[in-house]
Amino acid sequence: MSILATFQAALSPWNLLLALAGVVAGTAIGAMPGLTATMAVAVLVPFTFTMDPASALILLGAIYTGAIYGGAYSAVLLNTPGTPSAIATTFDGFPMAKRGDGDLAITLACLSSVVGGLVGAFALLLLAPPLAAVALAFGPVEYFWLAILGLTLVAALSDGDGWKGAVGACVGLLLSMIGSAVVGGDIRYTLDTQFLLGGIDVVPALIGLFCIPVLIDLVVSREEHLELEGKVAGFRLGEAVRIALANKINLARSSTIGTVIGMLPGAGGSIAALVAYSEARRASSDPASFGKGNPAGIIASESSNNATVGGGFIPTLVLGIPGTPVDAVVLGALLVQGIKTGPSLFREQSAIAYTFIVGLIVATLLMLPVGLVLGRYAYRSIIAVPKNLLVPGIAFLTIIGSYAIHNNVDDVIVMFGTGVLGWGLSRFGFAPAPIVLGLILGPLAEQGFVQAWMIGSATDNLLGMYFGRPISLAIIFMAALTLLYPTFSRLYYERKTRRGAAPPP
Amino acid sequence: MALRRPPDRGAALVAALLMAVAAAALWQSRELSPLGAIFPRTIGVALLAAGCVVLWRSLRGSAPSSRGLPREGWLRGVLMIVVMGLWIGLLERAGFAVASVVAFFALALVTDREPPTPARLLRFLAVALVVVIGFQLLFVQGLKVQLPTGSWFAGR
Repeated sequence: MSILATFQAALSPWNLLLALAGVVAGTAIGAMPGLTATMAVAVLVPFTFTMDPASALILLGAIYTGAIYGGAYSAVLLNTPGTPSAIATTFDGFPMAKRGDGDLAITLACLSSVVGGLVGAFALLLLAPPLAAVALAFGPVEYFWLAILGLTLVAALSDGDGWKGAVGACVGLLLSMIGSAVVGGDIRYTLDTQFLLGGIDVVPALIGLFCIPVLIDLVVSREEHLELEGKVAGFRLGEAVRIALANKINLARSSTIGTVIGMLPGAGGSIAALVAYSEARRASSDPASFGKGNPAGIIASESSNNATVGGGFIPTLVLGIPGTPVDAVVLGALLVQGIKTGPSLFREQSAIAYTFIVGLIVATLLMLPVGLVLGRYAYRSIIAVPKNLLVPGIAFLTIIGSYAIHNNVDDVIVMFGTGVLGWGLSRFGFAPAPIVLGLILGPLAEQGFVQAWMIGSATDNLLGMYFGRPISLAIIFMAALTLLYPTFSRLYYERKTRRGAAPPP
Repeated sequence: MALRRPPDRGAALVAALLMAVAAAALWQSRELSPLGAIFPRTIGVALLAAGCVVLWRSLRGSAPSSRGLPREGWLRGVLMIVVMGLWIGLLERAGFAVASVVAFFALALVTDREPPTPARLLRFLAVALVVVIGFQLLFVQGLKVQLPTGSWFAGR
């Protein structure tokens, strides 16, 4: 498919409408405190089932990018990040709102999100195809180690306790084994029921795991009304453009940081925003003004968190390894569509891949008018939706959405069961994301592991099969780095702090 | 010196339960073929090992404290789970529309913290009707999803 045809497909009126609807829906959901970008995508996934794969991907990408930006509204005006990735936006956004510059902060967040999103999407366009060509050389054992690399995400997704994350990942892997084995065809752990014979479907499970715990916590918690600080009275676009141009280095650096961090397993928007914020502050000539309403802080945070969208899609599409929990949801949606992500996607279904990437670029561009208009006119009504209607509304979407997967109540039961299980586990520190990761990566890991075992046993070189191939070793090294980096980093800072606190000789 | 917290018995109990699940998975793997059993055994052992560490850390107080079950508002949480369970149970009997309107209304009541007045109840019912009918139309007409009409209302 030529580039022109790809653009034509992505820019069809239907796909443009989907991109627009996705950005609006994502921004609205992301703006509501407590509702994450992962939940926004998970709850809206079922709307894509009857679409063609490229359109479905465009809609999901647009929801994702809109939700990440939407988090900035409540970060600026409520001092509460709408999504975790907007946490660094509160540092300077809220002080700006308090001094009456809330409208400027929102417009700056919008501009920065668009620039960051575009950098991430272009990185996806330029880097994904060559990486896919390299990934074609992967054999079963490389896929096994890739799945393990993906599972190292748990270190970042486990709410502060990596061991609980490991337990969660193992639970997800065990859940993925229910039903027919990927190699050998054994029927496993079905409790002799027809219901579990087909296994645990990924999509209803992840809708349940990501949405139901949030809903139960919303019902249990007392918070009802949120007070807005400051107001959004105008766009102040010219002023925002001038500030953004004056911060062009910050914008470029933060967008690059976001793209690179998005590509790493587990390091999503919140980590990217915090790293970019810290770098912006370090590089600034006036670091003391950060945290007191410096627009550069918003630029760093918002450009980097939106850049993770495109960056995160690189491992998702090229290797089938989700970079972030939202990517895991998108991966699940693609499985329903019958699309197998991985290097062959860019060879066998390149039209879908490129149409999606161009669609993501279009959705990011649409974020500018949508973000500005929503920020100016609709923000109050978005956060004014009372909890007593929000909760049943989202619960309704989870039910109808999981039913729509196969027109079957069994999927609704799986959604609800995994959701309640996820809530119970999350109350004791076992976050749902590692479980989802295990569930998604389980079949890939098992297939690679067992096939490599068979080849290794047949050639009498089991150890060499797993540890003797150069690509495998490189992936093992990356997995070890991802797992050990937080520990080394903590030790380094502890040592540095001790040195700083030690009295001078 | 490492920071010590009070023992997190809840997290320890969950870890112990998950270890029991791992043990059951290992036990069941005896009935599988060698190929089908490799991965369950590997993951079962990994879950046992990681569960052991979590159990130990939770009892020693060296793991981050978990939130535990909610002490306030837990009844609302339980009611929500019950309402959603009934909702799913009624989908094929009462039909999607009826079950959803009733459950939407009930969930709004469970979530609401204000005293119920006729005006509020009417508002909940109106929103429930609009949302359910709107989405039912979208899914049935637009996305061609066949939603259950309900065995209770099927012609005899």
